[in-house]
Amino acid sequence: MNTNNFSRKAGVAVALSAALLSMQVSAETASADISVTVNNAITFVKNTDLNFGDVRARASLPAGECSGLYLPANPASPLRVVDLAGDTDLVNTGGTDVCTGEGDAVMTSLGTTPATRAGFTVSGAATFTDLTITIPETVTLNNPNPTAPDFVLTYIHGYRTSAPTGDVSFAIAATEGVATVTTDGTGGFTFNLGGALVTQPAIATTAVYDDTTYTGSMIVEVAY
Amino acid sequence: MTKIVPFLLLCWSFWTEAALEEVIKFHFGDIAVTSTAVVSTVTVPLSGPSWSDGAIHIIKPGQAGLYRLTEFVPFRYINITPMMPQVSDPITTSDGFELVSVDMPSQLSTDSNGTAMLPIGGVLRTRTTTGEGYFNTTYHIYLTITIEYE
Repeated sequence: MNTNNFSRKAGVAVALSAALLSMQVSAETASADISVTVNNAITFVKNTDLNFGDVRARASLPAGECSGLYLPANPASPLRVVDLAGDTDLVNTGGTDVCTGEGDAVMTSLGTTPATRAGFTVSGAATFTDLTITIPETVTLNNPNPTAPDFVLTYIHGYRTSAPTGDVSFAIAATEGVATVTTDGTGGFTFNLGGALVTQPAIATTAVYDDTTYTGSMIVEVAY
Repeated sequence: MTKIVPFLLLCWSFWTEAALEEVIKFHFGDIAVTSTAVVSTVTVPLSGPSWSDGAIHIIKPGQAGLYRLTEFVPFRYINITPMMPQVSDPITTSDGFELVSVDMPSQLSTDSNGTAMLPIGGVLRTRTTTGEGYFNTTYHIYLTITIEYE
């Protein structure tokens, strides 16, 4: 009898404690690993060099006299001779005309080596985001002979060759040109650079160019 | 002795710990942070595309997370509370990120197996502490959530 009473009381106690436990609010914590990956790098590749090919050239000693070739960045436009009377913008740097007349200067393409525009590919950037392209205003092309005249690359300009294609407008400030280009849905674009290569406008020693390759470096920067 | 066994079973079932399993990792994507001069955010909602503002540019969109809560009592409501804000694990000489809000349900109901699915979206903000900018690496934020149940 006593045993049964004890059993009933114990059973009630267990059931009651279970009921109390089930009504109690419990809490636990858990942790979720959330991440973000930063990638500030832009892949910028030069595909082709800017090359005016083989040319015949002669400088003119007086200041302000030159001749030149113009290679448009737009691949649909061919290489042609600079017309100083009609192409004054091609030989204007910083608001000043590099040359206003030809004098004895001569520059013609021999056509034996095809001219090529500088071609670039930008990739790995954020999609539909503005990037800036910075170019120099002018570049001097010289050879190791210090007495020979140099060439000057002016009117460096751009043409976007990936959709939407079109001219890239550079705002010239100080010695640099800066343009803004928007990336496409893949986070990139392609573009060309062209320019006008003119004979050195003023040289005191000789107007005769050496038969050699004249080179210069054009630093192009792409950034957010 | 025969009365003790059911009592122990009752205790066992009560002390079973709930678990949080990752089904889809919550990732804010690949981004570029181009300036620390402004506070910038990237948002990954529970549905729809992610977006950013300020100096954060999205390279690859992220995705909201999905987590499975298990080992709960079947057919019960559980309340979810995130602990905010959470900051990214420190990386030497780098600025960090701060999870400033999360997009998740505050209450879920468990199914017959005692499980429930928890989606998580949110907003991440730049947190300039060093002024050194950001490295090209992955930053981690550990979101602690409190799960209450009866």
